[in-house]
Amino acid sequence: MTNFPNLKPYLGRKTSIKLPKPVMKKSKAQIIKEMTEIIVSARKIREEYASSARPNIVV
Amino acid sequence: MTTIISPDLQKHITSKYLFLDSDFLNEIYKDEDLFSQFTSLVYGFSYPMIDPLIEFEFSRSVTSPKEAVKMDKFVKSEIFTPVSRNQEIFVKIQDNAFILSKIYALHSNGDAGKHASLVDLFLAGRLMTYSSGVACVITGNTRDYPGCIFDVLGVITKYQKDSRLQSFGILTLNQDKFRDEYQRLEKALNSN
Repeated sequence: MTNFPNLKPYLGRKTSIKLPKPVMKKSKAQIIKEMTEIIVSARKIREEYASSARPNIVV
Repeated sequence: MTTIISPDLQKHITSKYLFLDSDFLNEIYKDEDLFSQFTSLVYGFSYPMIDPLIEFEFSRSVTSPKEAVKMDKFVKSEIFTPVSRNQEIFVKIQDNAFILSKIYALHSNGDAGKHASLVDLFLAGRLMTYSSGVACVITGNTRDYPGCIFDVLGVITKYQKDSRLQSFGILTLNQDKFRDEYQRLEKALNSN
């Protein structure tokens, strides 16, 4: 027999609460622009890494 | 590439915490079009969040130190709402995850959440700590969040370069379903 009866779930309230809509400092367009730059530059880094010659590891 | 979002999804996720599973986080990190569509969907409506364990899983896919910097900037974007890292909450999440693993293991069809990883269980455990219907998860592997506990709110489908469709479900924990499953589990364990 496990100690399961002592283990109780931690559930939030049964009644749903209403959260306020989020407010952000940056505009949607600004966030998309900045993040697109990150996504594109990260892709270039991955491509460079994939195409770079690396020594074969012989075990 | 095209992204198809199920109708009324924005209405269903408005004023809710939206946790990203690692597969979806990886996808928006690699696809600027999907990121843009996702931002348009949630901006000013819901709170996208990245659980610390998901961030850990995400950062493990790094290829080089240069990319690690980009990944760090990505997860720190203003679009993502910070998640509580309080130790007290973590203990509760851990207990919830443990209970969920037992429910999945003993579920009648024997297949519920069978493939859920430790991180999936902890993320589901975190969702449980929020008020009913306030938190949801977006994942490409809905089997990790089985229908015996979770409800589907909508779907985001991405049309890929190779003409395949990749879908991500938005799911929320149903407290009534959970209570039923928990009672069933207690009965099963106490009958032995």
